[in-house]
Amino acid sequence: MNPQTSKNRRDFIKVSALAGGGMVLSMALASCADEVEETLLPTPLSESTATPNPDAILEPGLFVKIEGTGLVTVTIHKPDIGQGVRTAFAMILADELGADWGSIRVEQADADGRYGDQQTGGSGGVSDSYTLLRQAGATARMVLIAAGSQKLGVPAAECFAKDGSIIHAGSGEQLSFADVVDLAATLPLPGTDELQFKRPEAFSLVGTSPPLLEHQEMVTGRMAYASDLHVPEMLYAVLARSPVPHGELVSFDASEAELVEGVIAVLPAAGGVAVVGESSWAVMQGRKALDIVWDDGFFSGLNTEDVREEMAGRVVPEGWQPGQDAPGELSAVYEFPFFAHATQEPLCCVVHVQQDHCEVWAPTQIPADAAAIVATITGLARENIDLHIPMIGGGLGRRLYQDFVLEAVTVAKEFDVPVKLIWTREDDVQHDVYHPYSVHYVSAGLERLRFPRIRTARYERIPTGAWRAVTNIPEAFVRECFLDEMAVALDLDPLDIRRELHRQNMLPLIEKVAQETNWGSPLPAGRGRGIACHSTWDVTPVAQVAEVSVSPAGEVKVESVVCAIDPGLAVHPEMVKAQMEGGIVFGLSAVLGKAISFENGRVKQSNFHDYPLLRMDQMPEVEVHIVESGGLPTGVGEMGVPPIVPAVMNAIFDATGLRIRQIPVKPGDFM
Amino acid sequence: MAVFQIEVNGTFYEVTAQPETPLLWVLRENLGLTGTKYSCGIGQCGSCTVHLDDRAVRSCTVTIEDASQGAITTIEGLSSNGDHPLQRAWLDGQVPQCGYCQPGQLMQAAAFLKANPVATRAEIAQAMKVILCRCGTYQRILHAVEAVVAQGGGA
Repeated sequence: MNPQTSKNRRDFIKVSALAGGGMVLSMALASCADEVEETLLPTPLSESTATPNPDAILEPGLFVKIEGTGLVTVTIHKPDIGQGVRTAFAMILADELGADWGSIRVEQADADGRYGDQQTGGSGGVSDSYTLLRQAGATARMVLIAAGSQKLGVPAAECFAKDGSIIHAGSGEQLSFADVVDLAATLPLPGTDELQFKRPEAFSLVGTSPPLLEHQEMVTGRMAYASDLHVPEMLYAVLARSPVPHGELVSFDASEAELVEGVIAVLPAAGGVAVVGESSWAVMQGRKALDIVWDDGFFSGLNTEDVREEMAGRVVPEGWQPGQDAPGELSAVYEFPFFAHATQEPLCCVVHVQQDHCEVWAPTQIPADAAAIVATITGLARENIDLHIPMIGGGLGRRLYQDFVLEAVTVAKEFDVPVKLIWTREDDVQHDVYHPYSVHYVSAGLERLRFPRIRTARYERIPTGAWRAVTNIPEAFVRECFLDEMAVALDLDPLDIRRELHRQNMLPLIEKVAQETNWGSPLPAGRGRGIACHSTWDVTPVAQVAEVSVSPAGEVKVESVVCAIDPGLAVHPEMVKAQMEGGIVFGLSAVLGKAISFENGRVKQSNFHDYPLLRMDQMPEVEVHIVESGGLPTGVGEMGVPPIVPAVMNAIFDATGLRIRQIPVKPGDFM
Repeated sequence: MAVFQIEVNGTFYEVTAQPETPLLWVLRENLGLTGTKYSCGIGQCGSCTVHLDDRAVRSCTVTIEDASQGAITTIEGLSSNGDHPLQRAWLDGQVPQCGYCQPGQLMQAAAFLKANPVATRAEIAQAMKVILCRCGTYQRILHAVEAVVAQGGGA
């Protein structure tokens, strides 16, 4: 929400309150609180004389705790991987509660079935939790109002909550939350069907962009990630894994490794060989000194080129040749390679297995899955496992998979002391759960304008899985690029074919990016503009226009990106914009970086020197426009990624006349 | 193993380590200064950037032996209260997402601005390209550094 919108909303509130003021007062609705306050609050406010009891605690459910000190603690039940759920969840709850934002603290919940689904994934953090958090806020507000009105001796219906106080609308008398916590803690909670919610027009936090609660710790280096944890007596571990997917350990010689200073033990574990010792550096050196014999197994001959051929064989019609379409038909083959997640913080997990108890610090996107694995490996009952979720240095889908937790607990159960299992970047790049390789055969009849048919074959026999936006990326790449191919064949403007085919909810976004980029205006030679649209998981429409320059040597620079998103309701608009910016960078790394490739079953890349990701000197100017259609928030974490790939590839076509149907782009594509 | 005396954030420490141990691991595991992050281990991503004297270096590629020759500053020592102009600009610009690379970004920017207090946008991008951010916060970093330059706070 920009200041202009904000002001309009406040104006609207005033008008509606004046029109129906008397009626508002007679309704037992805390949700009308803002209207009451705007017009009827006498000044000056009189302070009540109640004394707060600092030891009193009100805990109306799992998500919020209000103390007699005035402190309000919001429990964050989903992992924060950098998408900002800690702040966003606290805002939603605090707004509904009428709390003072300055009194809010957050606490990350452990893995606990009582919270329901704790998964961070599918861009569902805010959308899954929005109603839950508002219910929690409304429950707390109503019981605080009940207590406050009793203490003030006025009807609850005449009171509202704002900035951490219960205020009587008629007299302006007020009590702070702290003043009423002791009484509130003794009162019955309203039932879910009795809850009254704020109207969106009355939100004071939702729709604004306060500083994120985590930022101060992040810029001072005090934020503790799993990698940073130190538990007393803790040992460090790394694992040597089969270099070929699904390969098996035959034998190993640990004699050299055991001589490395600081190495304490070498043991077979989780299909590999674990080196355990006193420091990260020691165990990394110890692993280098291992002599291991592997059985490479079935995938010893795996080569990317064979994967491509096999996938093409599944979907491309026999004898198909490019450019040989029958009149009125158009077809093409697109490819999308393996990619690795490469989260900024490599995987890591700390586990302490004791006789009848296990404590785990797991930077996972699915706490329930991680806890279930710990239970299976240790044989402990679930209630004897405490699984904590630290702040996470990037998720990108990688932490939906619990292999790193399984390994850590498998090693740790051999020791009495806590063990931190770390992954090096080489481990991460070479043992990822990759975005699967896919080949797509796409075709359309040109008689009637409609979306093309796409046949997809994905290679999923090695570990593959969710990579920020998952199938949406190749889907958008193929469809949106092929739309431009159809536009060329039909002599249509790429903008017009999208106006024609995309759903109603995409159209305002198409118009927005067209207008902001002055679509159709001439560009210098070597420059091009491309548009693409995609609604990831069919919930959040996004349109993007990219402008690129291509040098005669085939170097592509993305100069600018204009993005429009309709997230329904933007809880924290700056966070929404940041997610779009980040999604665009993620997609550009795929277009302009390198893919993961296999040779004789081994991943050829190992670190950022041969798996390069976008850098600041390659960063385009990105402009994000939020076009809210209202209603509920829909999700933003992945949505910036899918459109950027086809937008850039369409811009390259616009600049060069070359249609490139696989990424990443290479100078050779322009020969 | 050998004993090294190193100066970190104005404090002298005695550390027993193999001479070839990277400074990164000494900072993190011997001294408990975990603001300096591991992410690649080969000097490619810059999450581990610290100052050796006034120079920004990748602490994963500096040995403890070499580090003992100069004064080291880590993110914990960049300012006393988290109020370095760059840290304030990072907050104002709402830069971090996961936050993991940001100590390295800040240390790189601080050393760069000290040497080039009136840097242009292109110079900033060149200087900062050595620090990877997988979340993609580059535009906000760029604007935050520019804001500090504009305020004359780069020195």
